[in-house]
Amino acid sequence: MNSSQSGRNIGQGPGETRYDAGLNALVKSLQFVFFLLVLIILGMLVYFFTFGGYFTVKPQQSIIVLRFGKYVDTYKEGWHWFFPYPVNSFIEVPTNPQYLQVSFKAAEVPGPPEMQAMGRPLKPGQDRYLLSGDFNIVHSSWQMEYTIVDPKLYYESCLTPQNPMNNDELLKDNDGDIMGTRGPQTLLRSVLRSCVIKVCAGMPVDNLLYTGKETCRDEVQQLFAKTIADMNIGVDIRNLQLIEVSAPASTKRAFAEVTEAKQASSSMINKANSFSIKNLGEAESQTAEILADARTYQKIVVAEAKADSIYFDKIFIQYKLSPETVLAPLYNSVLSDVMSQVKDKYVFTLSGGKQELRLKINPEPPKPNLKPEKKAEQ
Amino acid sequence: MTTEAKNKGGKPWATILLGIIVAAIFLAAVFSFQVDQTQSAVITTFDTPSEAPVNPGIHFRWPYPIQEVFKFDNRYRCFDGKVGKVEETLTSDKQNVIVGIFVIYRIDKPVVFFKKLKTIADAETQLNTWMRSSKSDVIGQFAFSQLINPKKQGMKLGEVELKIKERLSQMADNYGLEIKSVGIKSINIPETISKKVFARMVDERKAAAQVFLSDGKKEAKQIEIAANSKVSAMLADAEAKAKEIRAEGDAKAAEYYSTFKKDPELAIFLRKLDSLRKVMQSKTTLILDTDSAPFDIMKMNADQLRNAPVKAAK
Repeated sequence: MNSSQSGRNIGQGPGETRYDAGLNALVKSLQFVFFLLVLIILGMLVYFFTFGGYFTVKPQQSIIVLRFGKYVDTYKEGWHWFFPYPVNSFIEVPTNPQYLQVSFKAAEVPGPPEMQAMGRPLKPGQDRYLLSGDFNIVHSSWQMEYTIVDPKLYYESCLTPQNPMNNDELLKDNDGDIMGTRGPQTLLRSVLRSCVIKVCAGMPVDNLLYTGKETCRDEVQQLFAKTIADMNIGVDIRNLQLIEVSAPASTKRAFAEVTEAKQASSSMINKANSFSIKNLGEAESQTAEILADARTYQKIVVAEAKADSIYFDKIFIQYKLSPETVLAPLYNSVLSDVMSQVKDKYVFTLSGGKQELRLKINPEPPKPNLKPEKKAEQ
Repeated sequence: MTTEAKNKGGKPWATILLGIIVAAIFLAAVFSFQVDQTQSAVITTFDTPSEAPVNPGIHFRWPYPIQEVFKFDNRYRCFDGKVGKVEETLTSDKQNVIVGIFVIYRIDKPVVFFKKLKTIADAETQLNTWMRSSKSDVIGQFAFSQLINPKKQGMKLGEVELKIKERLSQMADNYGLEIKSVGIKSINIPETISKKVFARMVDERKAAAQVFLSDGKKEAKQIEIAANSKVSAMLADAEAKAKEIRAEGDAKAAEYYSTFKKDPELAIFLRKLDSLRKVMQSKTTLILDTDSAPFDIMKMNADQLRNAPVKAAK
């Protein structure tokens, strides 16, 4: 009995075995799986050839299309479809304003705020700072605003990360050691550092800290924008902000003393100016008073003289006619007027020889009337 | 022919077509390569590099080990050194400074670069050495006052950068690198000197504070003195002018008094009466003897009374 005979069951037709039925079921299952696989692959292919080559350009970006690595075009808006990778590849480049900060500050060290305020010597390589033209140390921080105005030029000339929308990538050497970052942000930061150093190295510290901050910022922006434009990397520097500029921590107290001294000085000057204004005002009013008095005197004197003159002329006419009848009444009239006004009058008859007369001509002034209580106390 | 036979005849063709497609993809992958817009490529045939670089696009190649393709990104990259970033350099006037520089460079001649350096890491190691030596040489030619100077004309950092760039360019050109620009990224001083600079800065600020205070005092005093002087002058002027006005009044009054010339004795008498009226006010104590008029009348007899009116008038 052979194997096919041994596998034949009751009710099965000729040539059919138990294994044949199993094989058929397996084949059917495999065919189904294969069919599913084909469907999945077809679906993936459909997806790849439709959505894989489709893109929309967002308002904050431009998309560069490369065909077999060669530049085709830059798209700034809308939706597009191209045959997908490896035929075409799509590079996104950000075109909205980008911001980067650069600082020249001492590294933060752990410790209480009092210790931080006292400061410490600056370690090259660890602490960042600027030297002013007059060999002083200052710290500052800056923020640049830039835009990629020519995405093609930017992508072709400036080393970017694999995806230009990302930040700069860390570069490692053959041994795996970090060599720093490489990319457009590193480049722009380095160029800005260079421009800041060049401008600040030609300015005295007082200009950097007080009077010339605006000038310094303008000069750095001008130099930075020109340097980047000369590099021709498709980037435009839109704005530069000098966020902060300060003296080193250990000298801050001394700088504050100068500010306080300036305030004290201007306070003294202000007080002197107030004194000057007040005195001059008073002097002006005194001057006006003196002149007014003089003018009044002038008017009175002239008026009196005029009145006396008129009076004299009128008396003189009568006097010429009859001197006695004019003078005696006048004299008596004046005497009676005068006597009536005098409070104390003493008339003595002097009859020769030595006589002693004692008069209390300045009696003590009467005491003021006291209140009844006080009187009682007294 | 049965359906089964037809199926048996069709299936190999489909398999062959699929095979052809797969083979085509495989062959394309093996026999072609793409060079990106931002890249240059060098092809080596049995390890011998081609003399001309390969431009962007799709290109044919023989598979390994016959040919190999080496691609290089030829865009500008910024490198600020690895070793010796904080090493001290002497200026021409023997001052210690720590100058950090950066270089913006790119692979300009990929074939030369491939032959001499091959990788970016190698290139930057080499660049680092050149940067250190160039920086040291060039800064040694400049005085410290040419690195920082309150007068812009005296500050020569731009020249320093240019000279370092020239030196680096000469060396880098032989290695297929182009130096686009060189910049100074930091100018620092040794830690010990920074302590002394701080001390000097504090002293300078204290002196400046004193100058501000003394200047303020001086200016305030000057303002006060000027004000006092002006006040005195104003009052003196006013007094002089008042005197002049009063004199004018007196002169004008004198014109009126000229009428008194007609009878000076009468005028004097009248003035005396007037003065008497003005002088004698209330609260005045008057002591007279009976010889004074009008009290003399108290002592008169009959004869005297007859002549009294005439005497009194005199």
